[in-house]
Amino acid sequence: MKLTKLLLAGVGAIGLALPVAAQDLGLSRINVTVPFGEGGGSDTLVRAIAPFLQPALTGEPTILIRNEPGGGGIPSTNRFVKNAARDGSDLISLSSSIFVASALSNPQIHFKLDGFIPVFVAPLGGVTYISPSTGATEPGDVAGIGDTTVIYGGGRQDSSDALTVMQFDLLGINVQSIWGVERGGSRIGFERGEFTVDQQTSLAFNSSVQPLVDAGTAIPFMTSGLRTADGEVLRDPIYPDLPTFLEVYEKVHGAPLSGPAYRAYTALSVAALTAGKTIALPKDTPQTVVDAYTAAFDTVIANPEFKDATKASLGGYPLLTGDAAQAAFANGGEMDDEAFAWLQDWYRTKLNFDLKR
Amino acid sequence: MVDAFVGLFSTTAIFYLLFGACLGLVVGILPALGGAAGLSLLIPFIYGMEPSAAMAMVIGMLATVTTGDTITSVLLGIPGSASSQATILDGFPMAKSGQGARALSAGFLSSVMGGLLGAAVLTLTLQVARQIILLFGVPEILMMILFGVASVAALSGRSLAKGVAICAFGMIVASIGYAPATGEERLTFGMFYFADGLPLIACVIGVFVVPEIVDLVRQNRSVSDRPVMGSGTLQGMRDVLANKWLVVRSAGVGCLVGAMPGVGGAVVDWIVYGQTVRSAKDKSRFGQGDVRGVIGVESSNNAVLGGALVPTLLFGVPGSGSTALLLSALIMLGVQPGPSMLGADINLTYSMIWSLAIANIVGAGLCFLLARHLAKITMIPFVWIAPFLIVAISFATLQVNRDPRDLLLVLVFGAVGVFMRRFGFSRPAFLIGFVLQGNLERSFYQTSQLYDLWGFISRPIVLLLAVVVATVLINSLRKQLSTTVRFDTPEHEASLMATRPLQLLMPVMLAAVFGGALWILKDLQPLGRTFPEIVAGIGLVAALIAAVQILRKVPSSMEDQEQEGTEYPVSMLRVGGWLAAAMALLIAFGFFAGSALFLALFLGIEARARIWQIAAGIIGIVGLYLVLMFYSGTFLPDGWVLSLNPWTYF
Repeated sequence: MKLTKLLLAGVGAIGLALPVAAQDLGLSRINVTVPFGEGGGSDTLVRAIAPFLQPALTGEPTILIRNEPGGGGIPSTNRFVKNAARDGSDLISLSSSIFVASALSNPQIHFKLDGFIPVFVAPLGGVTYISPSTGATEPGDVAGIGDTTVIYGGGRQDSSDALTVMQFDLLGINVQSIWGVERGGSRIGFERGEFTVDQQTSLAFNSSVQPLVDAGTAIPFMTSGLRTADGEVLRDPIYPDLPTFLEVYEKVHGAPLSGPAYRAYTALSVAALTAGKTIALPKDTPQTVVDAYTAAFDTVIANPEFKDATKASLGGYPLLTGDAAQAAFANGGEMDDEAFAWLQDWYRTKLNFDLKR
Repeated sequence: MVDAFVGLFSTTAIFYLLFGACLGLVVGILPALGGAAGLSLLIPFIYGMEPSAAMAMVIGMLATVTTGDTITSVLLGIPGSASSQATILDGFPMAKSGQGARALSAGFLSSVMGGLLGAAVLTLTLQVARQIILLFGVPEILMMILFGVASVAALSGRSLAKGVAICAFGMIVASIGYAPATGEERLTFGMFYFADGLPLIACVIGVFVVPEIVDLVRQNRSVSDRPVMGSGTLQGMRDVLANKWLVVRSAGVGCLVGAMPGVGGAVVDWIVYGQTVRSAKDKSRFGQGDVRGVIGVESSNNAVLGGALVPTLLFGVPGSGSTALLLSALIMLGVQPGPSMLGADINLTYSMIWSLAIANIVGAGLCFLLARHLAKITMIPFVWIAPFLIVAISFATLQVNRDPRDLLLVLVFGAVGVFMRRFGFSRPAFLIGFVLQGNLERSFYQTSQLYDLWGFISRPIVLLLAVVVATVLINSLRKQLSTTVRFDTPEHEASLMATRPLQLLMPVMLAAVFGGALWILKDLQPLGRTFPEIVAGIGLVAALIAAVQILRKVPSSMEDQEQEGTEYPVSMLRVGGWLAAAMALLIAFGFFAGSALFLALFLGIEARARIWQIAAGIIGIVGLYLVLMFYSGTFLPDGWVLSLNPWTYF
């Protein structure tokens, strides 16, 4: 057993030592399904990758990007799982909204997350910030907020926006959530003083919230952290001075978050952030094809030009391929019955929203 | 600022700008295809471009869509894009009476002036715009939307009850889908297809385009029966100069509405049209070819983009469908919009404003050159134009969601639209209800959660807007009550009496819809049902009033377009059948093969075209869309029965 591992490692090392060879799939055309419209996050990612992926595959196959918007990406993803070819000619670009819908057991979803083999994952990070009017004075200052009710504006209850409400609620802070806020509306509402907490991706935070922080009208409060392959949550590498939610929780309650609440929170945050933007093959794709794509994506992310081109759209977080990508996927979405029951109850009591399973 | 101008001209950016402007004209002229659709064709193209060049192209495209769409609206009575629907009201009657060139040149000149005013306002207010937008909280947005809804009163036509009922119907139809406050599925009949709500484009095409196509095909003649007058161009320009204050005011409203995210840039044209009619001294010619109707609308819709860029660039919050895509494009290019657009990226901002101004001038210039030739299209028998229009609107529909079922929705909305047109139910009122419902409900609900009554009415801008809305409503109501409608002649009265049972059909059906909605809604949570319940309640009362008025033979409530003396040699069933056949072919065989088949059948049977004519027609329009799709690398759905889409084979 050990010997095999050693041998495999040796083979791997030789493979690494050889000049990077383009990966041969014997395909002249690759279809990438984007279950959203042009210009969305998933679409942008695929279009950024395509020109780098093409030369990393032998024969430089044509990469066709096929947008299938509608229904929050669910109908198109359902179709992909059912119909996609298993020879590597069909890829799909998935986004956190699909993973969250899957974690919340949206009845329209006809697949399980193990229906995909992720070959590339770009995790997302987010910064939660708070208005000084709540009484908070510094990052993680739960005591300063006290009994004040914080107000959060989100898009839809069954989206990743619920995660922010859940975090504040788990910290024991009174949070009023107002729904149906349009894209970007929560940030502008925060500036107008209508909302007192908000969460943004690192990019939007740096460009639009940092000036408020400098002016003293916003305080960065915490991040969701970055999950490693073995499940540990580390501080966000872009904001090493900000505590993670789990750190703040432990400080407030004296013990780490645990039990079904922890498992539900983890599943949801993996879906919303860790698995962020993913490119996947359908299940049952032969291992040789998966390996070929893993190597091809390794070539892509090692390319300094690619890093430059995507710094703005991917936020500069470490990109994952192969086993690391599949590890990031684990824990994502699927919840045990006890954790889901906890989540159902939380949704019902705090958001007045019925999760069906 | 000067640097940005020099930068634009000293690089290849200017070529991209010109390319964008030309593409924008094509997208604008193609029926119902608007800025958002054009931009989704461009987005795959711009990846990796230099930001100022890419933005020159994008802005160039968006700016000229609202100039090019004037051509289709005026000459064919079909909106070139959603923002020039109101142009039809006066522009099309002008084209019918041979004044197409005059309407067009007035439209183009107002377009370029509105666009330039928009760019100027954007430049001048750039440094203070952040503060202005921050003054407009949720309560102010609510009042702005109510201002938009109030224009229904002026756009209702002869019967206010019918106008209110149909506006409420628009709102109920728009409230299908997720309830914003509670996330519940509402009025979806358990169908996931409805969960996202109905697509705006299918509704616009069904209600505004299909009835016009049906009407013109049934009349079986060309748009204009008079030769085109060549001298109109100068006259149209003089008209604009004589109404310069109307231009300035309409552009101002366009800018302001465009700048407020969540107000509804999509109905600016109707809001401005209502205002133009209200403020005019002599109102008698509106709807029959008053050039002021064209001037007001066209100066506003080009100014919208200047306003809409403000929140998009300074806050990263888009105000409309097309600016949402523009925002994506910026992020794609590595530019994160926000306060830095006034700091580190100020040159890009100025370069975008220059692009906006230049594209407006270029677009209008090209249109002036084209106008005289394009006006001849009104002389072609409509039966030669109709099948191409049907293909074009199908493309516009499919382009949005890539879902063939949307074509069926066009047929359903088309049938409703035919009834609305025939029996005097204001289609603009329906559209205003449909478009504004979402934002109205959201801001209504958010205001009630965030502010108490005192907090709401103690806000000065809210009070100011409340006074404006009240004035608009009272004026319109007073006018409505003071004008007594009489039948033109006893024969006219008799003919209207004859179809009275048919006229009752619409209000009765509407009342049934409202009643049914109230019944279904009662099972939802209070926050999810309150707003649509209020709307359905008002609609029910209005529909019943309209029905009672028809029963009591009140002249203002009686309307039937079929009794106005127009000759209809082609039967309704025949035209409806063709439309249904077109949609069935497109759904079964995909867009390209489906439209080729439909064109061959329609041209062969209805126009008795020769084989070479049919071939040329198919190659022309199908080829045009094929080129658009091929170069942008986008796709349309496969056919359900047999997929004959070209990309399956190359």
